[in-house]
Amino acid sequence: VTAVLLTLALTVALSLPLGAYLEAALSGRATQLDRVFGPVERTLYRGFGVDPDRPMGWRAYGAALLATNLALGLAAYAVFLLQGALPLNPDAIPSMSWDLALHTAASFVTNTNQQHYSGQAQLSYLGQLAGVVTLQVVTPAVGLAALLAILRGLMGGATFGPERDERGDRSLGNYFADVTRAVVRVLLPLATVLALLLTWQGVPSTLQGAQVVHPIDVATGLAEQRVPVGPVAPMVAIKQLGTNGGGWYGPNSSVPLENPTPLSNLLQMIAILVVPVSIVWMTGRMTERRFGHMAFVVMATMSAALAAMVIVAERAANTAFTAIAAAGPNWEGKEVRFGVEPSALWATLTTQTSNGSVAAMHDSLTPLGGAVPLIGMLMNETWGGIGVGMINFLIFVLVTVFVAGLMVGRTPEIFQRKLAVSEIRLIAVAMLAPPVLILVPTALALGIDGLAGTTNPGPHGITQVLYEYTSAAANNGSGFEGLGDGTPWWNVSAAVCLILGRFLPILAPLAVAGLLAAKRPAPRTGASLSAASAPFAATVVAVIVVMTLLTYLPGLTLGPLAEHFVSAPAVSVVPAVETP
Amino acid sequence: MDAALALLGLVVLVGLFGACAAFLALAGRAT
Repeated sequence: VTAVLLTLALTVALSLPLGAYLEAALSGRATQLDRVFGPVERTLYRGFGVDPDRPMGWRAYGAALLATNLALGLAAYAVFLLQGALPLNPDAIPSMSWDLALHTAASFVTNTNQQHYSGQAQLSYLGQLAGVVTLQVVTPAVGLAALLAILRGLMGGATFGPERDERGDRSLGNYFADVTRAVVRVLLPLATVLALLLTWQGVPSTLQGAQVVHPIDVATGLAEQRVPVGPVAPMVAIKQLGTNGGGWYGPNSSVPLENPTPLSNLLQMIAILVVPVSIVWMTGRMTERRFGHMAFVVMATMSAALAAMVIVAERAANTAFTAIAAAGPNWEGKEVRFGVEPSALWATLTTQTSNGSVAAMHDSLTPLGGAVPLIGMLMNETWGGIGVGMINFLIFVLVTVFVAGLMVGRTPEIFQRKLAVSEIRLIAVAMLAPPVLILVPTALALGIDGLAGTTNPGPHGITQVLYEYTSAAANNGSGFEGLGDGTPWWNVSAAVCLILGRFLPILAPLAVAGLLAAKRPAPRTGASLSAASAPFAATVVAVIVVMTLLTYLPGLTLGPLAEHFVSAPAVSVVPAVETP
Repeated sequence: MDAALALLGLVVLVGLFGACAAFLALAGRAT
């Protein structure tokens, strides 16, 4: 528990200065940082032939975002499909099948990093570096850029450069400038520092092929063993800092090569959480300070509640094992080097933040413990992915403003701008897209014989399928595992969830921001709703919890809750075995 | 590698982005 508290305290302490830095580096106003990073950024603008000063309204911003992501997705698809014939492949890894290449490209271009392959065995170094790490650097910047545009829209539009774009839309900034600043000023410097620290701790950082070693234990009967290595440290650094997830090795950070020491474990857990928390402070600085404080209190409350739930659940014995083992923590599938509590904390933080890298087997969590990562992904806004977590939170805030407006009989407004029918329609799209993308394919996979490929019958099998689609649509990427998910059905259906689950919840709020930016600010009166008060924070929590439960409680009941109640009585009829 | 299947994957990928672009256009027109 000390490790848990230390991790959280260090993360919050680091997030405060980082939040201030994010605002200074990314807001678009002129700062001293322009002198340091300006030359690199200008070289990139010239290289890509873009004008960073061109104003973009919401439609131009959304179109640029989609076009660049399509180009990145196509490039990644080509690399995965052709890697067997391309350079940087010392271990002669073959090309991927079309459906696996499609899923992998969709997974990495959406900042999800869901893996239906094992990295060390099925990706060449070119695939890892050009296909995976490049997208791991760029895609969090895309999420951050979308958030910057939305925040500017909520506050009336960009306060620098021309007021309107060619279409006449109010400017929300420039997409290319926002992405470039996020990469050059935030992600690359942070990832470089973390990669060096991880290399110091013993994480491999080399372009040499697999190392051949001779096992000391002759009883294994093996003459030699091939240990896959590579540029692991840089990949792990950006995968954690960019809420990417995945891993160089299939079992991610439970592999000692990817996570060798307690210090590397602490650094990686902080890296998972620190940027999403900093973004909350950045949002407060770009809107109203008190709004940032409200968002932090709401997210921290729900984050702590989820962490407490999973830690309590995993400290108890797995009810299915109580007949054959001593009561105590559920050690099955845990990272035994670090303990039950840090493993449980990692499980919830990686799913709260849309990261998705794992350090324990989520399939082996207790039924109620396994529900916690699932709930974190279903809510997807505490703390959420880089940029998109705050966007999802803002969607819930707008719904709360609408509901609160209805309750008190006033036109709903936020930051002095009134919400009308068009905005509410778009918010409804953003709210309804994830449940459709999660529940419909889950029902199809479970309802059609032979599609799901679960390794467990009954409620646990339902949880496995629900988890996989939730992970895809929420752009999390963590695996509950236990699925035969290397089939064309899984790869293609998950690719649909990945792409629509990424871009619809970005584009709809972007449109809302564009519409609000075009409105005249309403005068602030004594009766105006304050989006920074304690009652408002409590209402936001209530809206998030009620909306999530209303939408997903049937699925959670058929999966983890049913498993909990089914497995508990079974032990009552089996006599307990006394342990010495 | 089967070229027809590789093309199918390409069509699915472009189609999904096309659906998102259609939503963007629809939202632009409806507002």
